[in-house]
Amino acid sequence: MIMRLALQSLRNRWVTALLTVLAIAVSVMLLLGVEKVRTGARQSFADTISGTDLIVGARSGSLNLLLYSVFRIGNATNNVTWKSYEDIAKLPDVSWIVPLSLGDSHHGFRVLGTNSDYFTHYKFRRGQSMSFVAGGPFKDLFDAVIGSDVADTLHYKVGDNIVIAHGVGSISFVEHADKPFRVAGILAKTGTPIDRTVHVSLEAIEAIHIDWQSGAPVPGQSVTPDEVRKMDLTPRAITAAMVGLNSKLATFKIQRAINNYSEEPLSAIMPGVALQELWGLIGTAETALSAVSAMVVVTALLGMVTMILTTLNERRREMAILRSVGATPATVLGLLAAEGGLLTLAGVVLGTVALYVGLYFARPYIDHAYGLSLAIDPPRADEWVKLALIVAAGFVAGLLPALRAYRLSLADGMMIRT
Amino acid sequence: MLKSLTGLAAAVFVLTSPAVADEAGHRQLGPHVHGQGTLDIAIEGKKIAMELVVPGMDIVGFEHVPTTDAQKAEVEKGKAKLTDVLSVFKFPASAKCKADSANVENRKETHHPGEKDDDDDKPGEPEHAEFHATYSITCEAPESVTGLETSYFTSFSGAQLLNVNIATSKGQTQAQMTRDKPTLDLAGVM
Repeated sequence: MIMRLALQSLRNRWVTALLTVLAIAVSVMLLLGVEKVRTGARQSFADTISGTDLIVGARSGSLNLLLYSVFRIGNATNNVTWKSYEDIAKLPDVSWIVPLSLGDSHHGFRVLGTNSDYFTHYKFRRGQSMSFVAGGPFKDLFDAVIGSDVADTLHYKVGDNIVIAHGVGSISFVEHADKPFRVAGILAKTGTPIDRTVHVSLEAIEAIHIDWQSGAPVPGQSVTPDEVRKMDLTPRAITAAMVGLNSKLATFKIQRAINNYSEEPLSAIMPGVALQELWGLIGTAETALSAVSAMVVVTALLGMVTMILTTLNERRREMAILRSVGATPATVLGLLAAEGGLLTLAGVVLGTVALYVGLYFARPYIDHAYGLSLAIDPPRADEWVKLALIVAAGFVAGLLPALRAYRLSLADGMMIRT
Repeated sequence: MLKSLTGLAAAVFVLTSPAVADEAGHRQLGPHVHGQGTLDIAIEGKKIAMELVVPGMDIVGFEHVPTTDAQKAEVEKGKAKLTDVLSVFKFPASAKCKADSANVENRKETHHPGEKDDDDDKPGEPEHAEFHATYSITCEAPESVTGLETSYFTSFSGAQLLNVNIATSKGQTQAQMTRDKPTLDLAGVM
């Protein structure tokens, strides 16, 4: 009875009611959307590297090692000697090891020296492998494989020649111009730092520095690309290495063994654990996002209360007529509270549906443009609770104008104000 | 007695790098924070490998070489408690776990597990010591290992925190167990 009255009353004021529902819908969409982006961002972050059991570098903190080896941020404290690399590779439980050598750049993008195994062993997004949109891994000494952002920004295609700069600044005065590289492959977008990396072979890193001393070319001493091919290009040092193990059970044993390696101070970190530590540091932004979206919901509910309150004046007659035909003050109270609740419920349902529809269509675009993979999964338990709370808050908010109407006497509505 | 059992961990490198640096050449110490221990859990298939490293302070309340009979008894009691791994770390009963091996050492932190403790420890000398336990567990129904509960904090009044590192075939993660929250949720990585 009350519900039917409330519905019909709302139908008479459908424009304002619709706008209120929309306002609540948008706020609910934002609340749930922020939650989706938040979990998506967290997941994408955690998905930056997977399948690698340990990352080995010079002795340093786990975050530092993770930042320079995976995110290409900052620099290594020290290098790892090739001898140690070989020792680790020989450990019984080590299944594969991929060297990483950083230090040069190309138009602000980091250059990573590695080997072809990198393309098979580096996994992201729970075991997804890299794929090539054009070309393939290195075949020649001076072949380079570039990430998708590098290709997009610098408009490179397979076969282009590029010159690598010494050091990591975006403007460099020392270049390896005598030994240009050829773009051999372009990687598909991964949403990870790989997109912003130029990959070359470890031997090539050695080759372009072979006639250099103390970080600068030696005048009058130049080794041509053809001469360098005949030289021994075994690197003396690398920056870090990714290690895969035969069994997860060996993870901590090998980690401890590397950390206690007495010939060189090394650190072995578990990338998954370090990622989590890093997220713990930057995760404060998550709380801020949630707080903002919660405030938006509060604003929308306030708007609804305002709407009902302002229309109350116009509805003095409606209330009075209801009272005169025998409705008790309690019925009027229930009517207005139901109105608030119905509006909120409609807003919540509309907002949720709109979010999932929007998510369905925007998902491929967001993934491609931002490397953010948003999951389309039903609201989690705590989200259901949030939605229920919003509807409950709508009922309570409706009570506010209802109490006002409750207090107004029957006579008040009957009198004609001038 | 347990001390003489060989821990696997360092043995790997001892075997592969014959030239172990001499005493003067290379010194290093791990972190040592009273109240905090580290628990490493690696899970693959039905096998669970766990390693626990905690300061002696947390287990017995002192870290010097035990002198009195009472202190020696304390250390043995601590070892015995830690050896009974499945009562310290309780896996869900439905997982049907049993301990294959448990090996607890009380050692100076400068020692690597498995190395011979050949220096002249003077009884009563102040020293950072830690308990190092390695466990091997088999669970018949590993899919039921969705978490674990520990009685570690009620057994050892000095312990406040365990930093837990977890490696499974699904991925790696990190968590903490504390006196207030002596449980660990593994649902995300199993």
